[in-house]
Amino acid sequence: MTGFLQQLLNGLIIGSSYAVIGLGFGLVFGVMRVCNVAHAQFFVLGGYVGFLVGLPFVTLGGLPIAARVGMFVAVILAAVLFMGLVGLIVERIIVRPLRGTPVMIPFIATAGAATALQYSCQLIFGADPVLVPRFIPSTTFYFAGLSVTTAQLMTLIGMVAMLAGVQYYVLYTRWGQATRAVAEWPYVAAACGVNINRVFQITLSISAAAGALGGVLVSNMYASASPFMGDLFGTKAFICVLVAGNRKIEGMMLVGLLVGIAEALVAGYVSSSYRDAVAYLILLAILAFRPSGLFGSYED
Amino acid sequence: MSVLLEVRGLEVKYGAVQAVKGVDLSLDEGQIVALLGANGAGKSSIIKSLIGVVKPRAGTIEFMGRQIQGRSVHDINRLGIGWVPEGRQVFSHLTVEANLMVGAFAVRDDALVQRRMGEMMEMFPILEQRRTQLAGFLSGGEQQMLALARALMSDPRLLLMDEPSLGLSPLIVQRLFELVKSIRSRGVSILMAEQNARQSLKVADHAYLLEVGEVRGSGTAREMEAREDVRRAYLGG
Repeated sequence: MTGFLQQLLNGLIIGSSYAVIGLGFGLVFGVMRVCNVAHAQFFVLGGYVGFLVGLPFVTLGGLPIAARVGMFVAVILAAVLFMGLVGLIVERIIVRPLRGTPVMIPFIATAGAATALQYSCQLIFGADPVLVPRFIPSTTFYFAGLSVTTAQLMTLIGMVAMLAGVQYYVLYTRWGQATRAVAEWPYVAAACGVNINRVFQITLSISAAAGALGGVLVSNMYASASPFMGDLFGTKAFICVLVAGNRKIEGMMLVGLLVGIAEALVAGYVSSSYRDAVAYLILLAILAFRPSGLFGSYED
Repeated sequence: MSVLLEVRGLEVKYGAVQAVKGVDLSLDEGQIVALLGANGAGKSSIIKSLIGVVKPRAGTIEFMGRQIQGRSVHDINRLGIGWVPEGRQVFSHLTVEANLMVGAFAVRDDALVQRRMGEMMEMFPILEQRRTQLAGFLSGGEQQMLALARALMSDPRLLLMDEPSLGLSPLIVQRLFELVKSIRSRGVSILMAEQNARQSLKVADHAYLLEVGEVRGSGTAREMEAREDVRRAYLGG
């Protein structure tokens, strides 16, 4: 039983990262109907921004744990704000000019942006993974027979905070309600006085910020960042959105968590070689029986 | 009465298809004006170009003395034009209350929003009963009331209504047109695209008859009712 619960916990931690990255991807897909291929690179850039901003501080020795936690939170905020700004720029120069064009056009444009970002990272930092120093010394906590490391715990807390924050924004704020209105009937929302461009800017910024948060936490958890780390995470997050459908943000989060848990269980009880196939199998099964996703799509 | 809306030489094209061909129309403050015509006559295209959803190919649209063609949709709303779209288009995943809140998005004063919300609940009692329900679960008639209330939340000077009676039962249609009259009594002018000529001529002051994108006739509602072509085509002889 303890082994099962441990796999569940591991799955929840990795699933929370799929949920956050998928949430960013799904927000843009659901609200703007843009399949933003560059989203996985927001995740990568977030990892590198965290690495660059945090590096000088980490080398300072002898800091108390509270100061290190504070520093880590500051690094996360820096990465989130920086990538939020990148999101604004991407919306303005790539997505907005292509609004109203067939879905493949922004798909190709953002794929181009993804390639440019990925190779820029490779040019600056090299193709090999860089070692991301741990902000907080690695400690393992034990509770009721379960073990969790500091980095895993930070990842889980950060991801849950992001999911809760976005959920609060979307459900309870004025702009969040407007965002949901724009997702369904953009022109009707505009005729209510909602500035669609502003909604799209905010949406892409939140999406990029979610990617960045995922990047900082995951690179901290694995103590490494690479220009290609977005490929697998981005693909799985994309799959989570396809499985959930673009109608419900909470659905995308839930599917992210479930895919993570399913992967951990397969890795623990079948073979870790099959772990990465789990998401694809779930996708195939869902596409066969519910092509619009588990929670439906606005295009239904 | 002063002129609220003045449209001159309006042309709308979708690719090679010309939906509106040089339409002129005007609406005075406090008036209800009906656009009559069959499917494809260009009524909805005119409404959509007035709210800014469709960009006219040519012509001018003057609202309260200001040219508004080419402006963004939210800008046009903020100038004082509300829109009740064809097919209701309520925000189905938001509650009735949240739909109304979005309707008042441009209004910054919370107290004013709450006051208008109260007015809408008084005007449409069914919405008060459904306040916390998701709009997608309302009946067609209730959704139409919601779409109407949502458009009124921004306190428009001019309300554009696109086929408001479409798909509704006769009883609901009757109630809807009573509401149209009461909205006018609040000082809101109304331009209504409607296939139900009989009902719309009962409430309208003035009407335009459209055919294949052109104005084929206009006059007071009584004059239009008396026209032989209108009676034959739209009032059942």
